[in-house]
Amino acid sequence: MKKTLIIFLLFTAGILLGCFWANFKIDQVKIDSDLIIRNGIWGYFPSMDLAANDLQKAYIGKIGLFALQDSEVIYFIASTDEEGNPLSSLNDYKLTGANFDARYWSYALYGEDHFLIPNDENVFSFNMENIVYRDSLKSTYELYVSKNPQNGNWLPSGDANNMSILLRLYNPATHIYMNKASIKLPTLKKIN
Amino acid sequence: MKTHRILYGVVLILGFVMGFKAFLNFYPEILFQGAKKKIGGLENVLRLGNLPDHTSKMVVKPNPDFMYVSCFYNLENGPLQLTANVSNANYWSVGFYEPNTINFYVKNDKQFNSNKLNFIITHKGYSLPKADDNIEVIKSKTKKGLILFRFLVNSNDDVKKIKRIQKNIQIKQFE
Repeated sequence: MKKTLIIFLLFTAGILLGCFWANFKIDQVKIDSDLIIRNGIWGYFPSMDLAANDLQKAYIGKIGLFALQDSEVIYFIASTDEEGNPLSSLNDYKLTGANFDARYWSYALYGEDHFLIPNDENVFSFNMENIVYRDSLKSTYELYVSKNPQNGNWLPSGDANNMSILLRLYNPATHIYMNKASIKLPTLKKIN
Repeated sequence: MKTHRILYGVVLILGFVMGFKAFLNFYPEILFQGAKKKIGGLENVLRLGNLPDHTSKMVVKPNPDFMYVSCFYNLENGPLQLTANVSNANYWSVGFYEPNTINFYVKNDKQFNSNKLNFIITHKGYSLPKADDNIEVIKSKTKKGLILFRFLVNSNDDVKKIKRIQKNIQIKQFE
């Protein structure tokens, strides 16, 4: 009887430990995981085939529920600046980038809870249509992430820590698919 | 005594492995059910979304450039028919998801031959009479899932236009 009870308790403890460890591993994907490939400050999943990897499926569910297959969109996410520090509205950042060969692309800023950050301007994103380019050929642009008003493309950061910027490329050109690890992605520098 | 210790160790490891695998397996389904509850919990009913802002807390990482239409479907009473007339120059797409959050189907505006969409959504085990050529049959591995339309908004005029499009999307039991 005592042996059965010990087995039951150990089994239950094992299940609880397994659940705890799984939850820990999901949170660790962002920090340290072979699942995410880096291109500068930007991270991406080589494949969005969620059926192939339970850990990736759980992580994506947590940070980007109902993401699309990579046949439709490529997601790049940045949660640090060029120096590797987490993004905080205590700082101002300048994102410098170039146009992408895609049907539609956008940058959206999210808080630690993965939701849009409240701000008086009600501005949450910039995309290929509404961003102001530096040149008439619409090839390059600068985007400022700051809680304080900025000239030009200003993405208000409100009052948030551990922010992330999600770059979405819908229907990108084949060369982008083929070179996700090496295509030139924007830089994000702290400017204060 | 040594045998007992080995047995106890095996039981602990077995529980750990089962707990780990079960958590990873069921966690996305819990998130799916959570989103369903936040969106209203209704099945086979379309929810027409406005442009997301900071108050949009139903699904993480909403795209503030998109207006969504969502529908949690249930095929327990047979196939469903989804129709829409989507005349829109901007990007739009329709995706289908399993309850484990896997996106098993997506098609965008450029991949449709017509503005008039006509889908029959059926469980993979359900035998359906041959459908008309203009009807696309979606075979869902699960009886429940999610349909998600995304409409890109580039201007205020787009908002009005997309609201009209949203309203003509219909879902009903297929007869």
